[in-house]
Amino acid sequence: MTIDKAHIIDILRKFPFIIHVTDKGETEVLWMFEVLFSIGGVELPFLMHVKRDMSPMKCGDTSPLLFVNKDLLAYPHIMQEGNLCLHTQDCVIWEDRIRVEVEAVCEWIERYYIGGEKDEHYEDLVVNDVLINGRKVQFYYSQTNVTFHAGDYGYVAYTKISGNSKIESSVDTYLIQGMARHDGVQSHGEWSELYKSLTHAQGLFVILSGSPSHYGKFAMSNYAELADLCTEEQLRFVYEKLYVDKDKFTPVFWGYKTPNGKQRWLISYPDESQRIIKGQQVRNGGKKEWFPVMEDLKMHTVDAAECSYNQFYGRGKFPELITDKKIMVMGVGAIGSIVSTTLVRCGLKDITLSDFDKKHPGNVCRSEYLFATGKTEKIEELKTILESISPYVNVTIVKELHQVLKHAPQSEAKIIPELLDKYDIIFDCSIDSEMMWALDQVKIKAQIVNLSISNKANELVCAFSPGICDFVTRVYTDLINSDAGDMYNPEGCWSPTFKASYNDVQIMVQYAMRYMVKMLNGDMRKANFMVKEIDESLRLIRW
Amino acid sequence: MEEFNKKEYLEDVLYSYAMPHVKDQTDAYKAAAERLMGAVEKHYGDKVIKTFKSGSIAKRTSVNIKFDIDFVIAFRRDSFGTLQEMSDDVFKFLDNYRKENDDIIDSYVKKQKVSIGFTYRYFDNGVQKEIPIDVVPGRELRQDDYEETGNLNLFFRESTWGFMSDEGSSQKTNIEAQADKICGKNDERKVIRLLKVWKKCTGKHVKSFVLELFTLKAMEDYDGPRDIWSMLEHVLQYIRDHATDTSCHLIDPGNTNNDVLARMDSADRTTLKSEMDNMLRQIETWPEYIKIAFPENREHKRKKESYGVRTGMQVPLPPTGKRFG
Repeated sequence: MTIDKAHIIDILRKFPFIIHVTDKGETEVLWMFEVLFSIGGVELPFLMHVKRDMSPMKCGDTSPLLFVNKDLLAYPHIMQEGNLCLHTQDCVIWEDRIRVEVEAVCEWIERYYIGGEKDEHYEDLVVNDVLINGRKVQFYYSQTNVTFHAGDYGYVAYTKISGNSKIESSVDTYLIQGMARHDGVQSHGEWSELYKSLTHAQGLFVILSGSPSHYGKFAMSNYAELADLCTEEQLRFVYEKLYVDKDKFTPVFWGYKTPNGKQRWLISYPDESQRIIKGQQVRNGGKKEWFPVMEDLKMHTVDAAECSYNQFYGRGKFPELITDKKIMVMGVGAIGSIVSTTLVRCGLKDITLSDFDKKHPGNVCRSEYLFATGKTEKIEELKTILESISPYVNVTIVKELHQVLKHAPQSEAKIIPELLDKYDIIFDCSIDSEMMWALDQVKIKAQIVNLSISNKANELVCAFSPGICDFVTRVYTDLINSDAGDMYNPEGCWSPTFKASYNDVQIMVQYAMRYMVKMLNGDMRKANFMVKEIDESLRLIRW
Repeated sequence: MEEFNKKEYLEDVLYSYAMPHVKDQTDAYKAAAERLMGAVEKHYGDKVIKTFKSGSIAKRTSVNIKFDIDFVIAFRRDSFGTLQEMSDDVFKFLDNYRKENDDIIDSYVKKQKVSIGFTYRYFDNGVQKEIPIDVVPGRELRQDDYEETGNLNLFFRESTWGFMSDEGSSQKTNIEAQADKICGKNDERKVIRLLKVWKKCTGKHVKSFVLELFTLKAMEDYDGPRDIWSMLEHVLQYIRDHATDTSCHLIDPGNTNNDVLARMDSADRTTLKSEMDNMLRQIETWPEYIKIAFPENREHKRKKESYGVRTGMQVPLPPTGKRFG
């Protein structure tokens, strides 16, 4: 897989649109060539870097071969060092690598240099993030309920959500909770109540009049460059908070809007030893006045990424008819915990968990619980897990619901609908037949979905209200021939349970949920069904 | 694991839906119908040639859930000026009948396509019961030809979006010829009863008469095994292959001009075909799917040796040790 300079030149000269190739020397790690492209009457030179001692294969997204022209920085896909950012296909021999990269350069010249094409989707600014006190810093933010505009300024509330020390160097991750403009108007992120309520530190924000960037791609890296985008009032505010008030307000969040109006932040930590804004005295007639002036100082910027609900779930989620509902999961064993995490990973914003059971080590192998948390109430641990998965879910836990449903005296029977009517969908994964019957008896607006599984996860049964109890009884009595003699008996107790692994349960639940969601969303006729493996395929058997 | 026996299972299904299990109920139905027939004959006197039971009970194709009882009033040609007068008059009579009978606590009379629905509600030892009776008034085609031909003209009431209008047309039929067509055909009857189980238990909207005629037609040239599964499978395949076939005709034995299949909506024919196709494919890959398509009537299951916990439970719940979460 090695190649020499002469062979590279030989390959390049065979392309009809490369009219000149010159050897431009070498370093310890690179060979360099000047390559002149001629396309559509346009001649354009690139310096081609080839990494020596590397195979033609890419390392991550980095190709062993780069095309550089610093005069093209204003064009799309040209990075700060002038190199073209091309996402080319994988290759395993040098001849293919060179051909693929050269053809990609040609396409780029035609589309962007000659054709003047602009990409429709917005790309975040390239920020050169630095370590703050020896640690990487990552901020996440969401869009907020109140939009602030150019000229606005005030305070930012942010909170640390993790301090990870395992990725490259140590990383501290923060979340921007919200902002308070100088006049008191507040703007909150979309986060769940939990994340909104975490204790917070304060920084400062300034909404700039434009994008703090060069060529719309590279974030500014010097405070003096920001001067034209700030008002005097904003600079005075920052100066006073950083250098006059005793409280420590850092970092500074420099806000700007994307072309489609979305809020973005460039975040910098002012150096404690040097002032980023200085007061400049001038004489106005007989009066002495001062004006804030941004200093020619390097900005210590850190990484910030938008994490709004739509971005967070951009890769895939359940339809809004599910995610915007209030859902209760009754019984959070293997099925219930998987249903809960799936709902939350698929965008659910409001979930209530109900169970009375405690988590034992034996539960961990086929549910969503963790061993490391020790003995816990299942609903309490699952609440923590769900809140750790999504910053957008509000989780409520109810422990005694089964007591109320099954044992409420007649005189208090009306409290049951009151308790349940706040939910749109109730997943009953409790396998409590008495409760299943009790739920069938009450008139509530919620759609009840009953889920259960047979021994060895041979069948999963899904039933929709009304008439769940009769259906489930019929199926388990007449259709399911489970091997009751081959159950798992945990040592030390008489509580036989079904045999099935996490994989067995997951695949059945996920397959069922795929169709359950289609039915609840109206994409498919709602009908009770059973999932069963037949001839090495999962089958959806609908009634 | 023991292989599922489709034949045995289907025989058990037929057993569980047998009418003798609900003898008390059918006796009550028949008694109510006969009482009503007597009242009709008394009221109309010479205008009536005869009254007789028809429908699935008469044809012995009924199953013991959601069934009704039908009877026909054969009127003389000169009894009424028009068929509509005949139908309206019978409706009026039934409406008065319910008002004048003290033992009927409440009843409901409604105009249907060719019949008049009469739901007889009464108390039996303090328990409210219901008997649905379909009364079909018909008039002979020509004066005094009924005894010879058995032909009747029915008033076919138009419906708009399910609402019956007073407008209508005549429809010739021969109810006795319809019943004769199935006479002595016990195998066909079994298949028809199973198809009715499928229709009723899975909530299908296809007319029973279509399923009945399809069965009779499919079995005309059938020379395969005479066990219930082989015959049912053959009929299901026949319906799948012919439901959308425009050259296939299902002629009403009571009126050779009435092609019951041609009168079916094309979308309904396609649905019927795909339902048969789906059912056959499901059964092929998983024979126990039959239990879903043709569930046994749990009230009257054949008694088998069992230690089932459910035995004797008034409110059946799933057996323990089978259902997990």
